[in-house]
Amino acid sequence: MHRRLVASVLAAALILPQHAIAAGTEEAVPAVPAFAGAYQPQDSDERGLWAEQDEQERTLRESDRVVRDAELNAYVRGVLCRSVGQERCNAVRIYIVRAPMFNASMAPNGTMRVFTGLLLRAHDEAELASVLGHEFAHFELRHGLARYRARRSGSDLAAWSAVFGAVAIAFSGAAYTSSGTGVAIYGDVMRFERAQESAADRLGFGFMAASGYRPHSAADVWRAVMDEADQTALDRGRRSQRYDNTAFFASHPTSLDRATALDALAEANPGGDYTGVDPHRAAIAPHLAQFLADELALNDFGGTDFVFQRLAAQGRSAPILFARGELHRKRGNPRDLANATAFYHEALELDPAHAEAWRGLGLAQMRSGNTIEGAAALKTYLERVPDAADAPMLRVMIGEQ
Amino acid sequence: MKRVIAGALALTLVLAPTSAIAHRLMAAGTAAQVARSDLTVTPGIEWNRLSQRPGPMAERWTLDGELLNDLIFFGGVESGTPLFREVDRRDNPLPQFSSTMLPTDIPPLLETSLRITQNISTFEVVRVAPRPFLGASGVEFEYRMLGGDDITRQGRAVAAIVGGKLFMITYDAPAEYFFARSSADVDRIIASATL
Amino acid sequence: MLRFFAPLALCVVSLAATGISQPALAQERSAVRHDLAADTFTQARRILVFRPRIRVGEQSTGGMFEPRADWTELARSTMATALRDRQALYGNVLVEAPEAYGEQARRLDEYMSLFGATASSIITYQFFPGNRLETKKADNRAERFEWSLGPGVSQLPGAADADYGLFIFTEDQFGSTGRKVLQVFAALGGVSVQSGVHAGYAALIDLRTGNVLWINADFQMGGDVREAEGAARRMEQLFEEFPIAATVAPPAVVPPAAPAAGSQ
Repeated sequence: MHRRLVASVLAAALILPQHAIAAGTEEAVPAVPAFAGAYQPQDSDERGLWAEQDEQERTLRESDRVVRDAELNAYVRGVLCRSVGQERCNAVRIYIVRAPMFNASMAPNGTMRVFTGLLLRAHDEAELASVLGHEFAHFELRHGLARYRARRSGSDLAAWSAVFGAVAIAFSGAAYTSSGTGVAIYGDVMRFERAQESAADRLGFGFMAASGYRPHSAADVWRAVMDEADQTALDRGRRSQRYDNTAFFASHPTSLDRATALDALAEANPGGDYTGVDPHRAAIAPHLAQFLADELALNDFGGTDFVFQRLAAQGRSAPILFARGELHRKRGNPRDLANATAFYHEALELDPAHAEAWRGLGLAQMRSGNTIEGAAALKTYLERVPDAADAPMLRVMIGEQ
Repeated sequence: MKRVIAGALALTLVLAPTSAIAHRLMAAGTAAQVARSDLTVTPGIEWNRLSQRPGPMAERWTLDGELLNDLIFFGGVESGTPLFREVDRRDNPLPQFSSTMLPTDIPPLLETSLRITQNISTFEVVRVAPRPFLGASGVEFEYRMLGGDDITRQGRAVAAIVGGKLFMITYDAPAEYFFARSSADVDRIIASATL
Repeated sequence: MLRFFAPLALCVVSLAATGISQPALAQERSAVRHDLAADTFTQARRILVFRPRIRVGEQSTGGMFEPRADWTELARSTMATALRDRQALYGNVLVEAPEAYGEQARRLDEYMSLFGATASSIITYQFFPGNRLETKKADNRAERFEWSLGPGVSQLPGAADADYGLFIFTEDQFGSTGRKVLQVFAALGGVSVQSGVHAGYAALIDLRTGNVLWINADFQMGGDVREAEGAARRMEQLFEEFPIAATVAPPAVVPPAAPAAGSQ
């Protein structure tokens, strides 16, 4: 039986295709190394980095941005532990952070941040597992520390060239701002080198092979995220450049070769068949409306539309239709308003009690100039939510008609 | 427009002057035209106008520094333009005002603009109500937000669309102590606004 | 009349023999609340010490801060000893802020951030030339110093048992070898490169009203905080213009440290 193992997260490198394909077809399944026990920092660089991140974790722990729901946390921890094994899992503290980004990151001191944007974009448990496993691989391979050292020498070079350039300005340098709460909550952006991404992929594949998850899930989630980035760029009239914003991405354009390379890696490393679509959807369902609303804050029509469409393909649901309506209404062109109206109608067909959809419908129609229908819809909304924050304004908008 | 970022006891090295033009004193009881427009207000106490404009049609006043009290005037933002100066037009463009916007579209416009320019992470609109402003039927709204410096701020704003352009006054300050402290002074300024 | 402030203007450190002109920048400044009663600090008062923000590390050639946990741990303990010794001179009793969790911790974090914003505003808009607000300049001329965090501080964990709150922040970036070499090289070429950061501020607030009673900001401090002597010197600099006169009789519990010789 030919099984396929898929890497958890897309490797950065253009060298990956030859390197990985060659390695994948020639070598056996990368064996997951035996767990050596809880890791402690080895040298002063590492101790310093851990101390900084321990401080950040204190702030993170108390932040309002952390989702504390017990069931969701249990689900995510379950996926990680299943993916990397219980022994490794014990060393990790997981924080689910509300941010509409496809991201998970792991700090060298064992703090794992899982962003809600990732939970929303992952189609199933296997896709989530692939991403978490890849991040954990970076942690196990101690890439964070190497990255920190590499960045330091990168800025050293810049300092010297500034002096050589004989520019007579006081050189202040770029301070490493690890003290900002933004960094504490959202984590430092780690850009890994190609070789590191490759190595994390290999270990990540190893985890997937050992845990029974469907291997091609990594390629799938990656393809979707790359496509999303393309849509963002398209909408903004640019070439796709969104890859440098998250832990997984490096600044390379989409390439069919890369997706192919991942599939090839998957071919070479057998795994299981388990995807876990239903458990994933069940875990997300209570939070879906909030995650969708967070996406709207991005002001990224192309990307968000893509994410919503992919979700819609899973099946008709009122929250998703409502979110699509909101997205179009926010952009507000005449055609957008017409589309929004259609989405709201559809949402209300499925769930006539969706109060916010009545509000969206009413506002879309008002802005289109259909004041009678708009007023009627807003009236329905106000009957359901008489103490809404904008009720006073809406009442006047209706009354004026 | 850049706020001096202060985390928990983060030290900002402010050794070098950040602007060549000094901040101007806005005298009490003296009418002042703001935001390069016909919008005129009369403060009841002395305020300071910061030298750096947050946007081409905007102006910023403060008492103790914009982190502690932040009063922004928008004087005639045109349809198809953003509220603030773009931070990163390519990768993070600001939303644009449109003259077809409903009064209820103004809070989301401000919210998204603040998210991008000031790294606001949570933003909650608490109240939206009609209010006559500058001779038009305007809107006023109140909000709460969590800033990139991890301080919770309260805000309020009054806006009206006049001649297809947006005129707005926003005020925000830390919810603890500072917002309430200058609320009455801001009320007076808003009440004095004319076009 | 209480002294208002003692500004100290220092030039940016420059090794350039050619005399590259750098603007003279004030590096250190302090202020005391203008309406403090003369007898405010005559009796021993309890001071709640909020967890000091101490960062010690190296500054790489490129100016990047490299944290050193062992240096920071060391500094934390030397500074704690130095603080205790220093405070003993004033006859005050230090109360360490209790560990807080949940809602209380969030409130404390909020106030720490709020204090950071306040200190930053004082430093930017009242203390140092270049950015001062006109109203604050007027305050300076009238010897008025009026900043407050508001009475909400009285609800902070530990505030019920203390009269004042003390904030301390220091950051030390020791120029690494690379940075020092860069500095010398640059100086030969007539470019000034600052090596090392030794900056900080300390402030005392009234835990009933939230008023900032005293703040001292210094961007060029001496003393190697990793050593006991250096920490003592650092503490001395942080406490310049502290509104309490040193008394001779310390509380019986704490053995008095050798009094610091003179000021500055």
